[in-house]
Amino acid sequence: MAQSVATLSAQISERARDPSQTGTTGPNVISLLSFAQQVVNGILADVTVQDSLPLVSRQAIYPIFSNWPDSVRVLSIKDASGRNLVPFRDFAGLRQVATNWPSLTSSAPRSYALCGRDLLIIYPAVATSLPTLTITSAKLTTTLTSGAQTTEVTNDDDDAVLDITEALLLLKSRDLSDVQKIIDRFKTRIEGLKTEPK
Amino acid sequence: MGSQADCQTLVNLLSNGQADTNLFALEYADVVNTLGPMRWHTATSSVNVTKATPLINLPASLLDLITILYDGQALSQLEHRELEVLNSGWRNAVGNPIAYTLDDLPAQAAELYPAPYTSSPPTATAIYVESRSDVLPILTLPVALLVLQREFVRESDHTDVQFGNLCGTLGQLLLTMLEAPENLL
Repeated sequence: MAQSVATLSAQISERARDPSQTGTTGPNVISLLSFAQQVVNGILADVTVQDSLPLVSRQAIYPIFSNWPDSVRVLSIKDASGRNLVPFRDFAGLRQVATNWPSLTSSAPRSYALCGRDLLIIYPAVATSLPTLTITSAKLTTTLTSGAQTTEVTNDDDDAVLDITEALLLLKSRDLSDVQKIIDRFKTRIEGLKTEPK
Repeated sequence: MGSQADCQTLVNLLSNGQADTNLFALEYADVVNTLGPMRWHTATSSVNVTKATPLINLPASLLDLITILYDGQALSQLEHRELEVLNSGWRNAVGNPIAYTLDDLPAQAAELYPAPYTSSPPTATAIYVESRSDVLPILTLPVALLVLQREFVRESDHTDVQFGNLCGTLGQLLLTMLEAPENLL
């Protein structure tokens, strides 16, 4: 489903009235496409990544980015048997269940909570026979550096990537008259993509 | 890596080199501080507890305290008037802490209630939102756009309010879209 970066780069430069890429060089256009793709997948979470979490005895809190740098947003967590851990709706909910959650232990974790965007709480912690959990997250897409690469998001999501890149190119060239329209188009497109059946 | 350097490269690219490089660090720090309420950069840190002393010093990078863990418990945050209802002599109480207050204290301090026993553990754990020099990589583009907004709406030889505001509109929209409410506190 992915599209060639060279094709997208040429297409968006044409759309931004810079077909020969004199205002913004090819490598810089690719760099902007790369940032745009990361943000679009951060919003839509269509490309996911699975990471392992080997639990540590009696540890309930795990930093996310330092352990899994390609995780943008945790979507689900499974144990080794494939059972989904139940997510707390929010971190405050964990406290309502048990104020002693930091020290509670069990033979297996049942739930998880996110504290902001960079801390994961596994509840309860385990003391012995430590399982490895599988975390599914929205992926931080790979940095694009060459026209020979392809994008990772779907073709539909590529349109949103192009919207952001076009807005950035027009901002850069101070051709501002259409930027607000492109921002509005991007917003509408994202709302449509969010409600579209996957 | 969503480093400050990556943001600066983007700011230079999108401003065609017009942005003042000397002001970048200040504008970047200002944007990072405004991210605090969105709780992107959460962290934990051990803090020292002095026996029979309620006051604890929190990390210098703290923007917003979420909770304090002590002796395996998540402490409740209470206001002075709640502590007064609980115990009119709360300021002199000593025991195993069950709560903390931030009332009338500097940003990087908290007061435990009651003050820890002499036999209490020597550390607590603060869970908080921190100011980071490197934002999460997913935030590089929105943060760069918000830096550009600050740079181009201020009075200078390159002021361009329309450009600055459009950068701000796009940056704020991306941040809002990335902030999935179901995953936040």
